This record gives sequence, C-alpha cells and structure tokens, in this order.
Amino acid sequence: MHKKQKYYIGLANTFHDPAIALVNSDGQVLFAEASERPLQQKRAFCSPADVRQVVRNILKEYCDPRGEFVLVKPWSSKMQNFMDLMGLLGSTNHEMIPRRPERMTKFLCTKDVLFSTLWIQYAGFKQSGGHVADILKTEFRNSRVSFVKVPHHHAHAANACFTSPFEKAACVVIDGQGEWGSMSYFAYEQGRLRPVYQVKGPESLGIVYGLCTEFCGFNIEKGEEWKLMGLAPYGQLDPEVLTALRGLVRVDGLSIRYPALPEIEGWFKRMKAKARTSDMTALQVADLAFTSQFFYAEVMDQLLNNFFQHSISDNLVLGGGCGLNSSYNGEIVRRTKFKHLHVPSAPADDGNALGSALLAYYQDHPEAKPKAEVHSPFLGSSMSKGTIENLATFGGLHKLRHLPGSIHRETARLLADGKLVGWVQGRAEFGPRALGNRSILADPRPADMKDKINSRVKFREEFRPFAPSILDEFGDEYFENYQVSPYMERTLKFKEAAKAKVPAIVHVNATGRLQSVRREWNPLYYDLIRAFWELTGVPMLLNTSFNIMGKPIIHSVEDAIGLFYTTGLDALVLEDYLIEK
Amino acid sequence: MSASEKFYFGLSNSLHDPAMAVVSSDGEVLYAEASERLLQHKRAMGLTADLRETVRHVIKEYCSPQAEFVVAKPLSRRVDNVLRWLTLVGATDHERLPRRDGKMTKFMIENYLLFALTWQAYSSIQISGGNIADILRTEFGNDKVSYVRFDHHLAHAANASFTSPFEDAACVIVDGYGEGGAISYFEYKGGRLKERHRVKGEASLGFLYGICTNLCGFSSEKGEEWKLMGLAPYGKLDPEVLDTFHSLVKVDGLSIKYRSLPHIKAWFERMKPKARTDGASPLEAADVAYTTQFYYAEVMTQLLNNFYALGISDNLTLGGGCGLNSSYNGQITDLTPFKRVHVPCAPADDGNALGTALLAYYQDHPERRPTAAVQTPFLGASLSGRTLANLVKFGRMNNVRHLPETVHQETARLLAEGKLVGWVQGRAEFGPRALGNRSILADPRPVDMKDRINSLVKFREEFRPFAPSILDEYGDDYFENYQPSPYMERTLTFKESAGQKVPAIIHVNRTGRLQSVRREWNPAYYDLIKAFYDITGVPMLLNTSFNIMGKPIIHSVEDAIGLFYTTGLDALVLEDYLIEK
Repeated sequence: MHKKQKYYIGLANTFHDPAIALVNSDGQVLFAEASERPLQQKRAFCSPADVRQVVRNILKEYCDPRGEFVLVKPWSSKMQNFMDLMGLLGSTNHEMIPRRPERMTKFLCTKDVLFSTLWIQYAGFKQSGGHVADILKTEFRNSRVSFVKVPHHHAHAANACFTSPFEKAACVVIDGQGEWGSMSYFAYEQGRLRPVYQVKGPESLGIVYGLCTEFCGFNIEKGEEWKLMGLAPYGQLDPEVLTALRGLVRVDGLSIRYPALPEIEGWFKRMKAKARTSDMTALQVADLAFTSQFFYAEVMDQLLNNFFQHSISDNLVLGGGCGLNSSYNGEIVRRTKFKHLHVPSAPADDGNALGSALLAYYQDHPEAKPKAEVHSPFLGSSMSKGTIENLATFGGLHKLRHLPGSIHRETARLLADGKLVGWVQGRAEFGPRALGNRSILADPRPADMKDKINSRVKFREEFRPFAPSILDEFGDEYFENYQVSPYMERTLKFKEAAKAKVPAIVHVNATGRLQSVRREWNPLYYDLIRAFWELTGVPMLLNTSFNIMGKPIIHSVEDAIGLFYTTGLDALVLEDYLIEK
Repeated sequence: MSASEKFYFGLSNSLHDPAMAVVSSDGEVLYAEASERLLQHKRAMGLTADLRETVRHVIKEYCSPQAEFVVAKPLSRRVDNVLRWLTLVGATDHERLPRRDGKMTKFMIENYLLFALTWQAYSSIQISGGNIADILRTEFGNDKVSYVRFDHHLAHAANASFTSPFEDAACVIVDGYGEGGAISYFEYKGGRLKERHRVKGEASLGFLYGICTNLCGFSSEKGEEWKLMGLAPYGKLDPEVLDTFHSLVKVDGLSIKYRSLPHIKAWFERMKPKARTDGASPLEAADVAYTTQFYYAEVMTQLLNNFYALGISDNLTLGGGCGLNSSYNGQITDLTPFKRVHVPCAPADDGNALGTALLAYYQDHPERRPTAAVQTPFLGASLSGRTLANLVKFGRMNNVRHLPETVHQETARLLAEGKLVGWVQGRAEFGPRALGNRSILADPRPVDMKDRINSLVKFREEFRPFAPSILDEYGDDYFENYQPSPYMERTLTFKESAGQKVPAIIHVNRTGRLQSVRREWNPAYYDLIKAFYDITGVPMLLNTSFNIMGKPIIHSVEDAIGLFYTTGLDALVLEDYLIEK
C-alpha cells in the first residue's frame, strides 16, 4: 500500500546565491529557499546550497525517510569535469591568487579575477550537495540517493517556463555567464524545453551591466545592479557613454560580439573617465546609469525581436540574472513584438535550485505537464511557532495584541495613520522580492514617506525608490497599459491622474515596480490592502523587503524583533500578533 | 605606517568550527573569532573561515590595507597533496558518497562516514583562505599576500603554549584527529615548541568520546560532548562498559592503539544494548556517560603520567578538542604529578586560527618570545555602536536607562533580586565559553534558579548544570584545592560548607566549572560581581552563555534583542544601557 516516494532536491551550487528546493513525486514544490536567509549573509558567498540545519529541517518536515532522493545540480557534468581538470592542474588553488597577472581578458575582467572565479566556483561545486547526501546516508538509513546534473541555462529555462502561466512560449535565458556562454534560447511547448540556440563565448550583457554598476560606484558582489537601475531615471542620455557601449557590444542575430582586446582596453579607459570617484554623489553619475540602462534595453530589444522571428510564440519567458531588470521587463511588451511576458519569482541563480529540481522531475515523468498558471512564490521557511509563543509568554511587551481574524483591519488602520509596519506572515518568498509575507509596509500617500523609510528603517540612499503592492483589479486605474506583475518583476508607468495620490511610490520617471495582488495568491495580504482601501480609497501599499541595507530579508522571529527595535518601525505583525512600540 | 608592517591571518580550515585570527607586526592578537558567531550557525559546518564580510571589516578596522599579509593554515601541505591525489581517484567526490557501504573501519566509523569526512576536509581546504587574497587584491590592489602551512597539532600546541602563563611546559594535544594521528606531545621552552612524540594510527580518544556521546543520544556533530560530561555525575560505574573499553584500547607508554577490526565490531555489539533508546530520558544513559568519563580520565592519567616521566616540566599545557573536558582538567593536578595546568580559551579547532597565526609570527621573529601571562580571551567582535544608538533612538522601550557609571551596581541589584540578566560588554570571547562579555547571569543562591533558567531562557535539558564566575580572591573560600580558572576550563569541587550558599551552580557531584575573575582580566565584570558581593555577601554569579540551546552565542545587537524578548530574561544590559521588561 505504501507508495515509494521520490523527491527531487535541487541545489543551486553557484558560488553566489546558493539555494535549495524540494519537489515531490507529484511535481509539487514543497520548499525553496536561498542559503542567505538562514545564514543572514547577503548572497551567502562560499556557502553551501545544502546548509546542514536546513537540510535536516526540510527532510523531517516534508519527506518520508524511506524515500528515494534525486539530488540535482544546475551545472552539467561537462562543466564540473572541466572544473575538476582545472583543479588537478592547480588553476583552482586560491593560494595562487596573489600571483596571477592583472592582464585584461575577453571576459572583461583581469586574469587574476578570472582565476578567483575559477577557485570560488570549484569550491562551490565541491561543497554543495555532499551535506544532503551525508545526512541522508547517516540519518535516513533506508533512503536511496542519486545525483543528476543538468546544464545551467536549462535549469534557468525550466525555472522560468515550468512556473509560467503559458502553455507555449519562447524562452530567453540571459545571465552573467553560464556554461560556455551567457545567453540561451529555448522553445517551450507541451511542458518540454527544446534548445533553439546557445551563444558561446565570453560576451555577456549581464557582465557589461555589472561593470557599469561598478563604474557608478556600486558593488556587483552585493548585487547592487538594483541601484544602477534605481538611479537611471535621474539621469539623461550621455552620447559619449552610448558610443562607448555601442563600440563594445554589437548584436549579431541572437548573439552579441565584443571587439578585439585592445579595443576592450580602450573601452575601459573611456568608461573610467566617466566613472564615479570617491568624492562624487550617486546623482553625479546618474547619466552613466541612465545610459547603461538605455543601452541594455537597446540590445535586449534587438535580441528579442530577432528571436521573435523564429515564430515560436507571442509569449516570452525570461530567465537568468538579467530577468531581474524590472525596468526593462515592464517595457518588453511595448517595445518588442512579444505580447505577454513571464519572469519567475527567482530568475537568478537561486532559482536554479527550483529549476533543476523541476527539470529532473519532468525528465522522470514524461507524461506529466506543468500547470500553466501563476505559481506561488511562498515556498520558504515559516516562523517558528514555539518562538512566537515564547515571545507572547516571555516578551513582557505591554502593547502586544493577539488578533486572529482582525489582524489585517487593525494593521490597515495603523498604516492609514502613517505608521511603519513590519509584516510577517506564513512562508517566506522565494526570490529577492518581499511579496507581502516578509515586508515592511507603509502608506503610499504621504510625500515624505519615502525619505522617512529610507532614513529611519532601511538606512539606505535617498535616491532609491519604493514599490507598490496593488490590488490587481485596480491595476488599470493606476497604470498605463497595465500588466499583471505577481512577483514585482516589472516596472510600469503610472497614469498621470493617479500619480499625485501616491507620491511615495512613484519614481522620478513616473514609474513603479508594482506587485499585483489577487486574493487567490495571498488571501491575507489581499485582505490587508483591501482593508486599507476601505479606509483610504487607495488600493495600494508601499511594500519594501523586511531587512536593512546590506542584509538579507529576515528569517526568524528573533531577526524580526531585533530589526523592529533597532529601526524606526512603529509596529510589528507576526502572524496574528500585533506589537506596537 | 612602516614599510615592514605585516599582518598574520590564521585560519582554522577544518570541516567544523572554522575561525579566523589576526596577529600584528608586534605579535599582538588583534582579533579572533569563529565563523559560527556571525552566521549564527552552531559550529558552522561546511562554511568558510574567512567570511568576506568579516575579512573586510577586520582589514579596515585593524590592519593597514597596504601592508604585507601572511595567511597561515593549520594543515600541512602534505595533507593537501594527499587529498589532491585522492581527488584523482574520486575519493573527494561527494557524488560517490551514496554508493559507499556501511562496513566498519578501523577509525570506528562506517566506510561512508570516513568518505564523507574526507570529502568535507577537502572541500573545507578549498573554501577557506581564498577570500582574503581575493579581497586584498580586488578591493585594495594589494598582492603582497603569502601563504604558510603548519602541522595541525603544532598549531594546537602553539595556541595552548604561546598563550600560557608558563616559561616552560610539557604540552599534550589530544583531539578527534590531526595529521595521521590523534595525540601529540611537545616540549615548550624558550618560546619554542619541539615535538617529542606523535601517536600514529587510527586510535582517537576524542573520537571514542564522541561515539559514546552519540550512544547516549546526543550529537557529536553539534558538539554535545558537553552533555555527556554533564550527565556523567548522575551515573555510576558500569563494569561491563568499562570492560568493553579495556578490550578495545591498548595504552602503551605515550601511545594508544585500537585492537583489531573484529574487536571494534565486537565493541559496538556489546555497547548496543547500553545505548539510549529513542525518546528515553537522558538519565537512562547516565551510567554509560559516567563510565565513559571515568575511562577518559583513566587513559589520560596514564598518558600524562608517562609523559611527565620524561622530565620536561611540572607545567602542563593541554590543547586539542579534548582540552574542553573541564571535568577532567580540574582533576589533573590531583591525579598526575603535574603541578600546574593551562588550557587555552579555545583549545579545539577554532583555536587553531590563533595558534597558526602565532606560529607564523614567531617563525618570522625568531628573537621574540610570547609573554608568560594569562592572555585575554576578549578578541572577537564588538556590538555595532551605530545599531546600539539606533536601538536607543528608535526602540521606544519604556525601561531603557543609560547608566555609564553605575550599570554594574544597578545590574547587581537586579541580580540580587533574582532577576535573569543578559549581559553584553565589549568584545566577544574567543572560544566556547561566555566569560562575562556575552553572558546570561543570575543569582546562584536560589535553589530553583537552575530550573528557572533551563526552562525560561535556555530551553535545555534539566540535568545540565550551570557554572559560577567567582572573584579570584574568594576561590579558596569556596573550592577545595582552588586553582585559578580564567576561561572556565576546569571543574573543581566545592567545599562542603560553602556549597550550601550557592545551590544553583553546584552540580550533583558537588563540583562547579568555575571562572576565576580578576579585575585586571575584565574590570567591568569584576566590578559587577563585586557589587553583587557587596549586596549579598556572595562573591559569585551564575554565568551561562548568551544563547539558546542549539544556537551559538549571540553576535549582534539584533541577536541580543531577539533573544531577550523571546525568552524569560528580565533585563538586558548592552554596554552601559540597561533595558528591563
């Protein structure tokens, strides 16, 4: 009677953004979370995808210990064998880093950086996957374990397509660097992915965007491409920068090309003259940011239009780290021939944990097909119930109220009063955006709300915008050419009339990186915004991730409490407990 | 700064307890901290010693970024080479782990576990050490970085001896496993270490103790050898268990050896019926615990007696993970001819970060010698001043008081009233014990205080004892054959009469793992205990580490606040701020 359960554990084993995902015998996603969350280290460089404590928790919570476990890694055997060879040749020996030459390479980095990357990636490969195998073998003695490897961009494509609301789509994966290239094109149909074209070579739009981020004085290691994107609307086109960028990157069909090395070196020189120096403010490089974003869009338009010519579908699915460019994502439907766009909740390497697990699942189940619908991003950890109870019992908090059934109304009232609220519900979001389960919320109406949150809670730069969560049914009222944006994956333009109502979440170029909220996707969050609408007539909240600058989104009750008392938050909601200061 | 300035970064790159230490050009220890603290992940298995955030912080705070840097690792190059050869035959490839069988090996672990440890050792060597070179090169343009290696046990010996108050000493290292063996003997004289004997082979007293820890239903991976040690006094000698040890291990001079593989298998068979069953009370395993501790003491005493016979010194320094056996440490001067014992604050692998940095320093400075004095254990991170300021500014807590001159008096008063206080001052302790800078403190007089803390704050098993911090000058009043114990490294027996005054910190066998406090070692903590003494006449506080079960000691203001409100602590002291519930 007992059916043998089979589990697919996806392990994003890149050196940055390691993550783990779990899919069961029915193709259901049971869990997905990046290692940065439990470790509370932004991007969790050099950490394993399979953090031992997390592995133990999810095996106990979700798995039959007698099951069969398939451990899936989103890098192919070929790639891992190549790294092993590099290892044997000593190219991954980090003790050589200080002695590597600083010569420029076609990867747009110097040779020493290239070697650092080889080392750190090799270490990532060695590390991730062994912990879950070890724990299964030692602590789940009746389990069976095997390893599968899938190509990196296939995993991105699977994550993007298998979670899309489309039956059929053209899929583009663009990231920093995958296996032998940074762009891949797929046709998605009948629940299957067919590779159409793979770009090979060092060229990478993601890397160029990253370099521009660095020229603007931000840090790609910390993933601050966001800042470049947020800064861009403050600037205008700098023709010199545009010429420089056009001289570096040339679109050729579905590929991009770089010139020869001397010209690359010339490009660096020209860009460095434009780069932000330590005495400059961010706004002083706004033109550089604007032009970088402008150029990114220009190249993407060409690539996407060229891909559209393959007549695969009117639907586009976008994966890889560049899928996080929400400014451009919001323009795709307007600027290219594609009619619909889907970007998953975690398009970057963390998402490959899910992508690879799903890929392995569907390889094993050729008869099964992913559901064409919006998939839940709420796949991470829940708050410990025991710790919340301890907080209620031991906290000695005079202003703690337990409000089952009315927590959304009480919170909406506080928000309408202008209070800043930390809002923690259910399972954490998978991907970089807080979508109403690990969010800091505020009233979008006061003009000074943005500055208030930046200076009192997030302690971040004042130029950075905040995003709105809007009830889907009001989308058309507020946005031009409204598109549904369930994961805050796209930025749209506000309607002129609507703008003045919600100044705190309107960026300088009249856009907002919105989250569309439907009751079926997140009932409590919907009810909260609805309650706020009933009080204020505004179907929208300012929603920013529950963290402070430089740290990942909070993970535990303790993290939430720690952040609550060390910032200017006025209230904290943990499940149906409300704490006020 | 001077052109010759040089910083020595020591890294503990074992698979468990990674840590980093920094020594200056003058031999001063600038910093030492285990990775588990920042990551808030107990023992930080599979994580890196040189966490990027920490490296950046340490370089900026303590070093001149353009100086020379030496990165020292406590593992010989020979081990790297062996592991690299093993890589060639796939022996470090964790994907082969599931196919390894469960045959018992001479290391007393199954074949697959041995394989898992080999993989983890290799993976840890890869992951730790590259970040320093990478960050110095890419962020500070500094490639003056060199790497040096030392034998694992030599690093333990350096950590134990160079930080000792002795000019000369006999030094013994006993751990789980080093390079080719688990016990080594050194002679320490004139600031130099000379190897006297090295036990080669599989036999390991540390490992055996860990296996017995697991048999008692605890986890050696989580470092729960403590629990076995705490449980032991509840039990009595089980002659059958003792006999199994005798038939397993041969002690010969300075060496120990396991008998043949069939003996190992027979040992497991005989111990099986003695093991704690799932769900049974720990007290069921008390006799096994007692007998294990008894046997550990028996073997150690033989080895130490035999080593003493070499006539090196009356002083003993003890390093390696077994140096954490405080129960035995307190008995050494009674049971062996050694007159004085020093155990460093971090004798286990985390301490090797410091040991190896000191070795590199003294190798470069043959003319210098360590100071023979008690060295400070307060080498870790401080609380962020900014976050503390934010707490005061934004926390809006009713009961916060800033008491720059009187925080010790006010805290002593609260303690004397029976309040549970979290006490956070200055820099964190290096090593597993909280020594008055990251401590939970309480009045040792009430009989029910132990149960209160176990159930209200630490959420841990009731059999586990709490330790006292005592003003050194009162040591003789309270303890038989008092010895100063600056790092809580030894357990002593209370005097019959004195013991009744402080029931909360007296273990069932009338012992206490005391910390001796002198004003010169920790003025703020001394003043606090003194103030408590002025009120109560008791020169002693109950001192337990500021964490909850299963988590490391808190690291940040946020961690402290999070723990404060989710446990039954009554007050929290952060530097000179006092917060009450």
